[in-house]
Amino acid sequence: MTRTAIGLLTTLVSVGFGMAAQAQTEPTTAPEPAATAPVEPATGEPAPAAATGEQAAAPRTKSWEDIVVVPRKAFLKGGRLELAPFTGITLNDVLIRHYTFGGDLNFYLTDVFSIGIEGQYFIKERSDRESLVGLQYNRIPTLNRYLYAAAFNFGYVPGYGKYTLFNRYIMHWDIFVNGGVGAIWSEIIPRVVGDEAFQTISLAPDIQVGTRFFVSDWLTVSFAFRDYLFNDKFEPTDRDSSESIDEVKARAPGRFVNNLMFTASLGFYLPTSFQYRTPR
Amino acid sequence: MTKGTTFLTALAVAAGVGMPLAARAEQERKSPLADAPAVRRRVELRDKRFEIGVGGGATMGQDFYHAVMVNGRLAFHITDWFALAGWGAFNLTPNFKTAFHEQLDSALASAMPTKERTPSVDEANAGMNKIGEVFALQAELVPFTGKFGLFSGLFMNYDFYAFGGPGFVDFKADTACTTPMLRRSCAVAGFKVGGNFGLGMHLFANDYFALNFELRDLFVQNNASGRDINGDDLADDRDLSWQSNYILSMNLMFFLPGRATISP
Repeated sequence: MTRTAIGLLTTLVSVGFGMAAQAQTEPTTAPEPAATAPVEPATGEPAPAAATGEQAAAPRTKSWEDIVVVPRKAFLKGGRLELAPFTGITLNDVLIRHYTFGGDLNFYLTDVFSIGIEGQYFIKERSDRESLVGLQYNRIPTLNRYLYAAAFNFGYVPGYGKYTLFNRYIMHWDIFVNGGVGAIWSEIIPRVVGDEAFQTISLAPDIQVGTRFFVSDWLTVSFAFRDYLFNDKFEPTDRDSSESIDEVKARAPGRFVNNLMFTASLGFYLPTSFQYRTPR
Repeated sequence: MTKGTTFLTALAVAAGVGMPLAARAEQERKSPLADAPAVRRRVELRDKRFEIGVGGGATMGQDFYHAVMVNGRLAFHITDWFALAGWGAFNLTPNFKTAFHEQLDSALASAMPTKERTPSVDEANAGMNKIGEVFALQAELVPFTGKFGLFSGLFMNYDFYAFGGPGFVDFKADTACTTPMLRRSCAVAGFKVGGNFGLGMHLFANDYFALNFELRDLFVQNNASGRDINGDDLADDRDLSWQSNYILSMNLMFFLPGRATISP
């Protein structure tokens, strides 16, 4: 009989410990009402009885009460630093394309306003059309290549959304518009191989429109169109081989350039986590 | 006998208490939303609905002639995520030269055509073709659907889709190519069949009206310059190559029936 009692006691104790431990880990949503509770008396309004009841009734099991009708934003940017390496390609020149590698460094003053800087390095590639101009028309195109660029930008987030993937998973994203001013370094590609080249630094306002997908609390993926507007200088078509490079540059014709690029970037955010400041 | 009774009693109690606990733990580990769709009471804006509309578009990255187009689109959404569609466009600006074309004209204007390869402006232009009409059939996959807010005031449903299918481009030329031999300029004209693929999206203003944007690539065989490419000093079919024709279009779309169903 004694052994029976001991056996029962042991069993109940072990089961009871399991229940107690489970009860401690269960109410993951319980701390939120408790955290907001001290604020409520300061407003002079009594705390709702339901809220008090919820705290008193803990632990409770998960139920439909845990389903929030309007979920909060999945990602907060205000007060965080974004480091975003990007790569891209030019879109609107049929003779030469540039691949770009660069980075954005943005600080978000609020969740929708940011200031930042960007820098990028270009690698050129002549297109098939460019290579055919000589064969088909007996002419050599006058081209410039971009070297690098930098800019100071302001950013704004006018839109925020979410989508479902086959109505199974919900993802969040936003639209951003950046604009600013910077400089771009370019260099002529001499039509005669071996001729000296000159470089030009041009003032280059830019405007960017893109969309950003939130992957985790600290990681985003973005795609953007970036348009850089500047007045570039090109090699004169009547360049004389006896001219010095300074003379060539002095009479180089200018032409307005609209350099449209498509870029993809990864955004890393610091600090790597954030806290909601409003109750759920 | 006593030992056996004790063990069996303990086992029975443990089983009696533990099994419901295990079942409860299993139940608690499973979210109440585990099998639920991401969105309940969702407006099925596409399912079993026709879509018809018109709009405009423009080519991107053409060598010699831009094309600003008027286009139409017709689709039937078999499910909320799959549709079959047709699209067609007509070029309204057959003489809209690209910046490269204009620079080439000015560079050739001063040229003195000789026995060398340099063509006159007229000879160069005679070889160039331009897009006349384009048609495409496409299957559309709509994996992404959602809602967004603009300036926290304008809320719209939207979707993104990818599409693919056959594409047809009717190339036009100002000068017909008649001389079969020893020709250096011969414009490629007529229908070319190839691939059509791209991305699109709808922005729904309400249940029955949406803005539609599509970026497509019509991938067909062409020689836009109509001049020799392979170096045999003769412009013919051997100079054809597969080339992309990017077209960005926007359509005003109406969905039928006008009222969308709502999911459970």
